[in-house]
Amino acid sequence: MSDGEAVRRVLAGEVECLRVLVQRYTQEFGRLAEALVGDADAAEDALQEAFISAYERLGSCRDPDRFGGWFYRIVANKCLDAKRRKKLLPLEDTEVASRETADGPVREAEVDQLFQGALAELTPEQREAFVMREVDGRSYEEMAVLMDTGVDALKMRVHRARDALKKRLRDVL
Amino acid sequence: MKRLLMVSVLCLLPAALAGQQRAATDFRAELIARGVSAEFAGSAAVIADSAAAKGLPARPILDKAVEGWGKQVAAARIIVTLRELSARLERTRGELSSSGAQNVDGETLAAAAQARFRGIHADNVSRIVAVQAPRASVIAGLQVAGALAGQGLDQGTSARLVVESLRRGRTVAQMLDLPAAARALAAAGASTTQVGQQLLQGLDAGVTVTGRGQVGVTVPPVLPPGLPIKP
Amino acid sequence: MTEFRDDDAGSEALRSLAERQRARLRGPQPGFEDRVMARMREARAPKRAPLLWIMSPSAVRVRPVWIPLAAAALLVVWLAGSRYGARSGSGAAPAAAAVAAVPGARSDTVYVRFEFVAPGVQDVRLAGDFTGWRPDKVALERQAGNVWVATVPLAVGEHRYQFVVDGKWLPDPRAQAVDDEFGGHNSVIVIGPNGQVRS
Repeated sequence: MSDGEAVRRVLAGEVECLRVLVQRYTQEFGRLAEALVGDADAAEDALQEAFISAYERLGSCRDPDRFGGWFYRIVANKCLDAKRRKKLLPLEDTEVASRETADGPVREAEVDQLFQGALAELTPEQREAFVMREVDGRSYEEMAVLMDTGVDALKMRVHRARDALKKRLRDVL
Repeated sequence: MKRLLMVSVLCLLPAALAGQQRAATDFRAELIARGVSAEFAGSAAVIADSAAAKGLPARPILDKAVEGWGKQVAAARIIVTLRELSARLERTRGELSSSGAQNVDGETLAAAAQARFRGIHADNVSRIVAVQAPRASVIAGLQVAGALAGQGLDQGTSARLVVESLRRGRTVAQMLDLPAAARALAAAGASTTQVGQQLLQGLDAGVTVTGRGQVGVTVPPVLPPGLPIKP
Repeated sequence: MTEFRDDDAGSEALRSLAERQRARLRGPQPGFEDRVMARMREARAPKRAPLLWIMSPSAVRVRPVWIPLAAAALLVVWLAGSRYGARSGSGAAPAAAAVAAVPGARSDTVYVRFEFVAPGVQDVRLAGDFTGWRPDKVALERQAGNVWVATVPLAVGEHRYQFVVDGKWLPDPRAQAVDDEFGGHNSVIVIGPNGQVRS
């Protein structure tokens, strides 16, 4: 069943057709949501909220055949909210052991946390573009469809995100 | 005069077989009689027998096996579904037991498990089962609750409508009107919340039948007033 | 095509960092889909589109007169052996007086008429719990206006069925659907003790 057919049938009352969309888009966006939020459990909640929200507003999906792009926007917004709610340690308070003295795994965990913090400081569009490209590994073409933005503009966002992150994480990279 | 299409005797297999404790050989024989292959009958009967040994109703499992076979679903796939069904029956029995409903008969348990499958939460299924009402009414209530939830009505509201209908002595016939009334209201533009509210109000507007089967007592229909009814 | 040069050491390190994040992604836990579906059932349903059933091979339009009734309104019932004689009713509530005035009066078998509307199909069967789910028991007859019809005696209680249209299993677009646990959906109707048919 295509996305369009599933959406139309749900709107006509066949609620169970939602499952097709839930399965498909859990697969499609589950890991991306986690990458955007930086926390697996919070990301699951955000994705769940996105599905509920999409269902309640399904009548306003103007092009059921392009449900993916429409739904992505809802997911990204919920992830943004979730990211904002997460308490992040300010970078200045984090103890960063120097490269030479800290244990590997301990240092890795700290760097990961700093990375999350640095991501949080990007603009939402830069963060989305960077995460989709570098963490979720999508092609620019895919990203262009989901984010409804041209490839060149997306490359610019990714480039700026990289610059900002490199600067922020200069001491640990 | 329209020509009636006659169907075979199998169509009229009575529901009286429900809840009967039977041996595995009987299950296997029944499945074969109902048209499945001997090999598949053997596999499915093992699951039915295992359920029966635990005191669970075998009927739903046998019916599901026949359904899968008729739809030409792969045998292995059917077996997986039968196991899930058996587990669901057992789980539902545990939930009912935890809430104080012991010794629930097979048919009621099957209906309760189905209501759970359709989205009614365990505590609400228990509430429906716990109402002092004839078994047939409780079973119909579980079906109606599942049907309402299947239409998108909040499961809590669905269960509440059924519990309140049962408490007010609504007959099976009247409870069976609820899903149709819900769909009519939804088609007229009501949100699921509004549908739930209006149906509950419709219940309150009714008259409680104090005795069962009192001739001459008029019970208003559960449909809210003003709903167009095609004669 | 715009190109950005990101081949310095810092970019390499950042790339590794991002890859490490990717390797650690867990994704939603088992049962996530079921939890979402359960919440969907509690959620506020979207405002329904006009009742346009999309069916392959062609769309079927529900006539406006049926809309206020909502129930599987094309199931018309004759009570077999009822004191009140043959009575046809659709989704309307039974007359209240009849319900109370005839306590316990019941007919164990009710004739139910199934209708399926679709142009351009060659063969329509009915399969359900009352045919052992075999599609070779009940064949619908084509009548005027691309309406296929069969009338079947059913026992009181809940029944599940599907139409088999040119070999393809399809639920009844006018009846309530329930997951059949085999990847499809069954249509559900309930025959009440006084012969009314509900979905």
